[in-house]
Amino acid sequence: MRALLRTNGAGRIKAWIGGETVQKKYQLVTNNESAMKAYANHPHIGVTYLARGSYLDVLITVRDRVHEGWHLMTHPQASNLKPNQCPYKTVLIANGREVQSFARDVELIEGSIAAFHKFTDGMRPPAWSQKALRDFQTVDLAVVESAVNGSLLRQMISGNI
Amino acid sequence: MKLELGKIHIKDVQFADETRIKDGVLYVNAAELSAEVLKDDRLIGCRIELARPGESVRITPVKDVIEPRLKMQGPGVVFPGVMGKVTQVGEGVTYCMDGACVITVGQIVGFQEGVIDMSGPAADYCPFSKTQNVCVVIEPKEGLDTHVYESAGRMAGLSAASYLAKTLKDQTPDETTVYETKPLFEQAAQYPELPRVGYIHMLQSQGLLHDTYYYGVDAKQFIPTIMYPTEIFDGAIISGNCVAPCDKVTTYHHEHNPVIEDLYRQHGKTLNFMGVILTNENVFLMDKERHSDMTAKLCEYIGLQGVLLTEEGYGNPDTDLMMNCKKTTQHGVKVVIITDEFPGRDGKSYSLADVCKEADTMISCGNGNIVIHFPAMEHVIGMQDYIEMQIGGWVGCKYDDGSFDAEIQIIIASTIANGFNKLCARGY
Repeated sequence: MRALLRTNGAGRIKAWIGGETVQKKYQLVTNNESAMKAYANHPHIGVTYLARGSYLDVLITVRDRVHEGWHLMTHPQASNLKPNQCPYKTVLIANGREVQSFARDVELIEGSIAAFHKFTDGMRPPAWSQKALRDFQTVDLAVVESAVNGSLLRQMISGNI
Repeated sequence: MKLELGKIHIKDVQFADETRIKDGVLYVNAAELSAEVLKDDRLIGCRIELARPGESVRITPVKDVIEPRLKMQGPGVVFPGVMGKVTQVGEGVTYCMDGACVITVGQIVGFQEGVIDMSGPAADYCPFSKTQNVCVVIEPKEGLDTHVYESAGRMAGLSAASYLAKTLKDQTPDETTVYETKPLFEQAAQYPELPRVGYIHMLQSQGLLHDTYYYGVDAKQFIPTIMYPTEIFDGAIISGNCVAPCDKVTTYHHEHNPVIEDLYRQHGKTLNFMGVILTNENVFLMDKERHSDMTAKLCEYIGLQGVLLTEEGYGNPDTDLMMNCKKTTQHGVKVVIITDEFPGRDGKSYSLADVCKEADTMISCGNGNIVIHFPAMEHVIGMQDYIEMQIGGWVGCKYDDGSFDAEIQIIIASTIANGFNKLCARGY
């Protein structure tokens, strides 16, 4: 496995990119360690892991990727937990396989960033316990896996198509 | 399909040596009920507590709420595919324990779940402050995966409800309502002068703690389908969603779906209620495209002229809501959305996470971001150690006397997005 460190456009985030991500059609952008570990060796899904990144950093990284030509595969606001209710976010994107238009992708990711600010500006995040943090990771991972393990996406990913 | 619902009114609940109903009082043998729940070896503890309207009692964290029902005539069992064989339900006679509920309580995940107050200001926001509640407080075996514990908790509530429902067998209903929907062509012909109206019922289906089951099948695995409305009264749909308390559609809310009940009230008077289209709220964007296409197609195919549209949740489901609204409208069907709102505490931000120009008629079920004070209660069923971490709470929201401040989204079903509440919004 090849691993490298890289900063995003704003130069704030150290991202770990594992498993020859650049060749992979699918990529998880996440700040969830459990998601990173679950997919670190996946043959067709790369991981951009923002080890010290926030929920917002994940959304901003996804927005940057969309502008670089990647496409949203999962909804950036997946899960019923609102941005101030969960510190983790995982989004699946694809290169060369689009679901909706570029304009619609931009609308969804910008809307998600706006929702983040709506729910967090001026608010202090709860002091989550270690158990709560582990459980948030579990739920965030389960939500993205509900997509990855779905009938069509499972076939697309396993066939790398 | 024709279903007669016989309601047995319950006005009190008490512990006793024998589980039975007498003169409108539900008597519960706690040891027997607990033993029934503990047949599931994933659980090591089950405590039964009772909560009645007006008592100084707080119940938290709540997982699900269920009304016990019993199939008296007709095929299948209540909660088909889960508490018995997979058999078509929605026909015959079903008895309901009207006014009594099973409430499943227990810590499933570290960030906890919602609150039910049986008295005080928060009680006004919750329908279950007015019901006689049998609380099933569960404790899991150590080391269970969250998925497994969620399943055990879900089954504990359904097992308890099925156990209590047996007491309905020798009862005479205090009230009976008959619901009927005919096969499509016959239904359309019955009231040819009235507008043909349907209901698009979106089921939460995003994954762990975000799931709903139809005849036992996880809703994320099906494609949109048509349901006879009476199926839902027999427990064809059960909740596995326990993340956002305020707009959580509990199993009780499915059994009492207010959109279906109200459409039946207008059936043959102001409209012709044609049926229900079930769809989901999946995370994968291709599922959203496919299922909103199919939902709109079904509306057109069965000749609807108008639909009511409801969702469960915020964020990702808002996109399904708008896609269903947009495409169904484009197929020539008028759409009215029912939903709750999250515009921030100052009410100045967008209420929903997505929007489309076709969404021009909406009924609001209230703003989940409103903050109220929760006074201390004499007794807590469950635990309130984690209020600051629960959805709607924040660091510093809890006081030493056991009271706390929180957004009303911490209250079970306070802004439920199908209208089973009393909140609304008015446009000026």
